[in-house]
Amino acid sequence: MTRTRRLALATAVTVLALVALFGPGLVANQSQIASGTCSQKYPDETRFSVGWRPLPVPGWYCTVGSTGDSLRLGWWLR
Amino acid sequence: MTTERSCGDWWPSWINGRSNPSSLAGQRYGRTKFTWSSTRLSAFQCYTDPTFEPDFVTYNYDGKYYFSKSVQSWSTDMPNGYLDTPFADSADERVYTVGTSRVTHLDPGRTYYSYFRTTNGNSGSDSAKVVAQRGRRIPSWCDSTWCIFAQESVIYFNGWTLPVPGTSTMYR
Repeated sequence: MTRTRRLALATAVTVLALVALFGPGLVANQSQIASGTCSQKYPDETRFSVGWRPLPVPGWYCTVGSTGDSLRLGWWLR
Repeated sequence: MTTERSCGDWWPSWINGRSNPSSLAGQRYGRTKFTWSSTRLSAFQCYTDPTFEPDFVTYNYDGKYYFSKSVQSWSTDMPNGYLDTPFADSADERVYTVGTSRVTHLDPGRTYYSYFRTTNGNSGSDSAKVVAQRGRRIPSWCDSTWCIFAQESVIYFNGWTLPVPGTSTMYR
């Protein structure tokens, strides 16, 4: 394998790893949609937080204040 | 996305919501007023690159809405104010947001407001809640709505108890 091909392969692997780790976690409007989705899924809760997590399954998660329960909302939200 | 330190209770000590017909014919306005105590604001400003949005959320599960979708005008006396365009407008809950990208420029004990005005919706009455949302600028130097990530929310008037039109105040 030539040096150029090794560099291309390393770049591709790095990009894939970054997408797997962060994915839509780098998109601000996805966090806003996650917030709205969380609010609708827990209409009785008065406090919650949202955030992107790579583990155990990559995706947006909603954590409810009163119980600390976390719910995975999905990878890409609409 | 990133692990965040906890700084304590950050939300306003109280929020007042108000909505009414505008003095401009065929239009209506919604407005929130809110204040932080020094303890609350210190906690808020302890978070990393904090932002704040008082989301005025209206009930639309019944298809009846007091405000139309598009905002004709908006204002706030918070520094670095912005209008947040809804990216994925839920059919069931409509959100009107005027926030600030720089919580570190706010002062404790001062009453701030956020205001929006729309054309009339298809109903003369509605109900609403206010979602106080803490966000974070990523990267730190960017004030665009595309750089503001929602972190945590606290709901006022839960159960759609803010009458529209009308006014109410809730302490938390």
